[in-house]
Amino acid sequence: MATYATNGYQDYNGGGFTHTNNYNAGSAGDFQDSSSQNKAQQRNTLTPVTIKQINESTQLVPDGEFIINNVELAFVSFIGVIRNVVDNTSSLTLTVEDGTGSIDVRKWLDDSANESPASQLPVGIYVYVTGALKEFNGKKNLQHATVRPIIDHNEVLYHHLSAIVTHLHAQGLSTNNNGQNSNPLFVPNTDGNESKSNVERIYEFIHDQTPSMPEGVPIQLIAQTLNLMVEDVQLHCAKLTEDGKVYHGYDDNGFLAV
Amino acid sequence: MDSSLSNIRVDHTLLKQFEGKVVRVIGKLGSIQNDRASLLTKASDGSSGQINLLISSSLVPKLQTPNNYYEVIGKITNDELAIRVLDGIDFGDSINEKAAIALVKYSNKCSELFY
Repeated sequence: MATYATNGYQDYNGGGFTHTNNYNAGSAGDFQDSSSQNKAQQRNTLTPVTIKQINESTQLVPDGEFIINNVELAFVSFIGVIRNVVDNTSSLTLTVEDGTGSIDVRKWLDDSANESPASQLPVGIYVYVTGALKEFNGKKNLQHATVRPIIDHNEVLYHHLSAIVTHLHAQGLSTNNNGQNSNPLFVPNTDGNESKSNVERIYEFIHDQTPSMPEGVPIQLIAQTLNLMVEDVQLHCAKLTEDGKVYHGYDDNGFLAV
Repeated sequence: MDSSLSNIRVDHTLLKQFEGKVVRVIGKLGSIQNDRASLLTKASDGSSGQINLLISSSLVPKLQTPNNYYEVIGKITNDELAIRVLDGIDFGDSINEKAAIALVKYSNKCSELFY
């Protein structure tokens, strides 16, 4: 009798423990994870800019994001000509100018690397620079700066053009064809909603249902809810699987969103 | 060469508008004769033009290859609307002309990003 009671108790305990675990992983955990990931991704976007934008950007709150004309600058990329190089043995201070302004970039030297960056980054060449924008003593600087010489100078043109596009998008303007003729603000958005493809609808449905169905969202349910043929859903899901957006649940009939 | 000066991207149609200013032009290098050369540019209105370049002897080695594209930084002279070259960078022979034309056009429309 005593043995039975102990066993029963242990079983109960074990069961209870796994249950809580499942609950956390299945619903709240997954959901929060994906949303915080999305935010982090947005914050970490590499924004193409001109040096003038960097120099004129301001922080709304101390240590916060830099803002210039609605564009958030966290990680930035720009292109410019090296105008001055100062060798501090462990790092190079490069003065880079792109016709809109100039900025000093500190490039740390890697001892283990065989190349000598000083000779690869002479004065007068175009370079592509990326880094995290920071301010120190009232002066803008880049953390973790990478500097790479430009071989194909089309990059100079394309970079400036993409900086313009990024800027215009942030102002709520779309750059279609000859662009400047007042394009209504929200046209692209509504277009996108109406013409949502079946694949996108299926993915959204799976994504929404994933937290509550840890065994996989059944194909039949997807087909019923979205009013689609089961075969079509299978086809689309196979495609989504290939793209790495969904994966099989416990068996081939159910899918989970990544 | 003052690198802190901001300069404006132009083509042959904008020389008059930015007279006396320091500008950046992308074009094909034409004939070179001693301290003079010509730069062939195209504009968004479809026209082609030629800009006269005045090159000081120290910069002559920088502008060597006719028919290559160059980005020239220089000051537009007041009288003949030529460009006194401050620097020239060889852009190679395969530059997307449409992109170059678009950049001049849009950089002047979005001047808040450029000057």
